Amino acid sequence: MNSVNDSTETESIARLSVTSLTVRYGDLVAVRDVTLAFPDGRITALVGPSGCGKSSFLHSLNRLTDLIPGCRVTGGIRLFDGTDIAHPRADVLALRRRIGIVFQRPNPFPQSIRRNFEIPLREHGWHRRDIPDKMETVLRQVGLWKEVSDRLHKSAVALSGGQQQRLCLARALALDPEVILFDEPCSALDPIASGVVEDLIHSLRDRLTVAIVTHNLAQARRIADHVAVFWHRDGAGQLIESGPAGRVLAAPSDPDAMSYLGGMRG
Amino acid sequence: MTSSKSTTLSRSLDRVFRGVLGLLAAVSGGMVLLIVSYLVTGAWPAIEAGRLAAFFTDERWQPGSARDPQFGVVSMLVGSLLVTLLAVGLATPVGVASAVFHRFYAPPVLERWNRRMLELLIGVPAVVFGFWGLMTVVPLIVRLAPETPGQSLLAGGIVLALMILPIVTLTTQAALQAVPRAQLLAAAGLGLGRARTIWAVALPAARGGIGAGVLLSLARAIGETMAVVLVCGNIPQIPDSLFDPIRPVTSTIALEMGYATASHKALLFCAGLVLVLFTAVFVGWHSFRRQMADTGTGGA
Repeated sequence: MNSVNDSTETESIARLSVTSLTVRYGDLVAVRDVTLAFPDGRITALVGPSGCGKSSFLHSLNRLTDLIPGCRVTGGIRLFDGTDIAHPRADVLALRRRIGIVFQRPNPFPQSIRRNFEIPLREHGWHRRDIPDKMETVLRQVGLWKEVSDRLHKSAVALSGGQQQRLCLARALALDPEVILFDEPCSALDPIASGVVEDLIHSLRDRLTVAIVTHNLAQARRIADHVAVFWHRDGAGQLIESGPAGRVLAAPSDPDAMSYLGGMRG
Repeated sequence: MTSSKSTTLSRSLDRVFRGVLGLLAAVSGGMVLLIVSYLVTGAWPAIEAGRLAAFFTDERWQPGSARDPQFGVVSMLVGSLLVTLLAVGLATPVGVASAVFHRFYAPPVLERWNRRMLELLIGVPAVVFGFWGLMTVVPLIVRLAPETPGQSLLAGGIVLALMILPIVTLTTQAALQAVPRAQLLAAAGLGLGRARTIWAVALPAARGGIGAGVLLSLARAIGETMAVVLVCGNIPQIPDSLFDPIRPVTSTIALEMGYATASHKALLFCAGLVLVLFTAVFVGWHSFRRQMADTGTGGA
């Protein structure tokens, strides 16, 4: 697996590596030729102005781009064990279990809290009697157990926005993923809820590999080990700089990255 | 100056516009009240004469008989209900399955064509359905059960089911189309397969819309007349089997209104009123349940 060799900049091995990835919507190129490795157990923040392809890139990592008619993804995406994610005949459902995702807007199913766990866990072969324990474990992990343990049969959409987002994180964690993708997970939340979710993401470090798209540079500074800066250049989103958070945020070498991170552009 | 003049003009135009719209809205809403009050007026002689009790206690329906007039409408009400439930019972699974297929499995071209076909099917006149039922469904039933007349509860149920099928299918399709993208994205993100996405996510989310479609088709089926007159056999009796002839309330009204005299006519109005009340109860029950469900899930 030559993909491992791509992660030259990082001290730890790559859990997920992407080589020459291009995402097209019809004739429009959303992301062009991105090569990036996600170090195991670390948090990688994807930053950049709106419309630079960060979300498209993120969604291609667990093949959610398959859902968009006319979307074509070329290039390589590999997991640590060599699983070829981009392969047309890859077991997409199984790999989405291994690579979870939390979206910008909390999207629990408008059913009971319990059902929100039963539906995915049953799909991935869990026995009915094992589900309550698993649900409790992950709800404790996201600090939601005390708040909801007496109303697991109540609708999940009756929870507050921040609680819903934590529920969505718990639901993703329940499937024991290796990687979790976050697509601006805090941008629809109020500052306090946002802080809680941010702390939770930070707490996943070492146990999971995290990729997070964020517009909040302060957030990237607080939680990211690695930063990848995207930029819209020559009619397509491109990766213009990546590396350890400390170096990229403090002294980026790309001029656009420098002005963006310095708060002067974008 | 000119600008202030034009705002006054547009304001008074708006007022006229609002008045016209309000009037039109009142017409459509008031129509229901008008029809009900018309029915009550027509039925009043029978209600005044205390015939309403006989309506539910008399065993048979022979209002014209000089020797032993009887006004029992129960058998016909049962007939109406049974044929409606049978039709809805047949059409709902087929309609929902068809909608699911076209939403989640069929290529878009097929989906578009199917929708066009269903819209055409809605436009087929009831008498054509009835005629077709009489010529094809009834003989088929006779072949299936040779000792029966063929015109039966089953024939009525099948023909009605076909008539309401497009309603169930199209409303279900619309309800499935309206399932928020975020829900389907959540399902995909959790690695749910298509079958579970449909069963556990899309159908529950579309439940309200599907229920409304079923209700609409129920109201249509219980009020349908022409087709059932032709295929149900028109014998007022409580059927013992699917192959027995029945006579729904609507058939009775259609068949007898032409020659009914004063008191008989009032009874037919009564029957119509009962039918409207039935539909009202269905609708009321449905909207009550919806309201309960809405408050139960915090408005989602």
